[in-house]
Amino acid sequence: MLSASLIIVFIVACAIFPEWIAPYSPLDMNVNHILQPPSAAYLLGTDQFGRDVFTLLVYGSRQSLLTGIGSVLIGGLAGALCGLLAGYHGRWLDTFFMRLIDVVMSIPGILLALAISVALGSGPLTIILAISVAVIPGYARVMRGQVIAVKSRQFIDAARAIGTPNREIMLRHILPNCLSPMLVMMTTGIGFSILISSALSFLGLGEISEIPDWGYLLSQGRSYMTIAWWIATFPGLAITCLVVSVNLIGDELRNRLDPRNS
Amino acid sequence: MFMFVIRRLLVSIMVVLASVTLVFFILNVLPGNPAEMMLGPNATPETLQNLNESLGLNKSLLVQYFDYMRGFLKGDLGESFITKKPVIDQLLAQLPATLSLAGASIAIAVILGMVLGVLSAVYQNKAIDYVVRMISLFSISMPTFWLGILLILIFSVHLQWLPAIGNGSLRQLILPACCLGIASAGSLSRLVRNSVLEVLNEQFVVTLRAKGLPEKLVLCKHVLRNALIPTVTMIGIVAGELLSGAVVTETVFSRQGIGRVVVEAIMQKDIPLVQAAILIAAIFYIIVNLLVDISYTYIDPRIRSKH
Repeated sequence: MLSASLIIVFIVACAIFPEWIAPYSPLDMNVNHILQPPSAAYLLGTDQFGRDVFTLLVYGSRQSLLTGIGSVLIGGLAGALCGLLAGYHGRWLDTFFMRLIDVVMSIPGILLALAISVALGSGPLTIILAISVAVIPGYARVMRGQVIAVKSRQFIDAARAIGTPNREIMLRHILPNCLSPMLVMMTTGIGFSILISSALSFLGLGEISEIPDWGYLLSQGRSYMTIAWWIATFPGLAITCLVVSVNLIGDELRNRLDPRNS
Repeated sequence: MFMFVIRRLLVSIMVVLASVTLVFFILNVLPGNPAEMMLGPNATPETLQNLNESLGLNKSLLVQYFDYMRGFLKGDLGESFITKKPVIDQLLAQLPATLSLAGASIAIAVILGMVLGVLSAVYQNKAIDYVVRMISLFSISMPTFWLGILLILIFSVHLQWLPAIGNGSLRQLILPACCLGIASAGSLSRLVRNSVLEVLNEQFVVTLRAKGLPEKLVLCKHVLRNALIPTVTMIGIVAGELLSGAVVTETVFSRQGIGRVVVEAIMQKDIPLVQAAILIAAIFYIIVNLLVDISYTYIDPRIRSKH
């Protein structure tokens, strides 16, 4: 748990102040030092352009984190809103949202994200949006289930009996009681989004900028796999470390927040 | 039971129609004209016009949609924009490769996930449990394609035990199936562990032990059976995600299959091909989930009585 938090703090620091942590500039290309194995000078080796892999990872962390957090915020909030409305209102709105969710869920998530990002054109924002849409159904389902459970509790009847307006019941009484499973889901969702976004850049949808993100770096390294294992290995390790840490924190949150476990 | 299946099938048909519609509009409404993408930036307006006409892209979107749906209901899924061949033939040719990958990886995921999950629950808080939990955590946190690359590096490049790419032989199936299976085994084993632990705490287990039933029988006959319901649900979810995984795995291992075809089709905006692939994915997802729902009634008699 402690090491997970430390890893996350380190990666966040990389994302905010890359120039303080990275030994080189991500734009430094050194023709004399291409495809160097890990050494004291180049901790994790160099890539096919002679760029330091560690430096590239440090600079690439910002994109990975932004995608993970951004898509969970957008997808999670949109999903929570759909779930809240569907669960609270019930009747036709519920049927409508749930059928819509069935439809979206029957399309494999990565294909949906791929189709959306091709349609919108490449760019970091596109990937965030595409992943957000793909994760909405999951959040909406959990939220709806939670809302339906809370809605039947007595304090909601009490609130209604004293004439509290619907919007206030939803926002002030139901929503706070549904937050903890959503919080857990959003935490592990960050990891999931980072995995999908790296898969999308691996398939060739990453934005083409001077500073590659982790997934793109990994896919580049794949071409040099047999002669330079380090280019593909370390970005993958970085993604795994970040996602493992996020998932560990998610598990811990679940244990703390889930009353059944205490 | 029969009525239940019929009702589910009817709903499923609606879901399939709706998902085909949704994808049609995502691919069509958003910017980017397929004819322009096929001809490149140097196309003259006339050739563009001609291609648009021959693909039927000059008609209004609604007309295109109804044309497509009319063909769809007759079983005609259209021709690929690129190869001009019927898309259904193109996809059916790829189906065996993807299905064998999916089947093999589900088998690996289920066996590995169940064994690890049960071990972890039975030896709760012992060394085995910690090791299994660590393995599961890593396997769900790893990018599938990275695992694939590592497997190739270790087993093909260094040890030279197994071929890295291609399809055809069984040996060529092992690495991709492991790659895809391990990823799902992690989430499955976590779930199996939780549900077995939950069942172990129930009172009937105390009764079974009290009447002197051997621990092995308690576990295999009673606990596992009760822990199977959430597990089977999870298998349905995992199977639904397999196609997503296949997209990536087939690319890493340069295998032929639906996943790779659909990635290329999406990039080239080959709309009929993408539509047909999404259709196959949706049908696959629905069949698996129907099987899951039916299997509940066999595993748990309490559910059977409800229908």
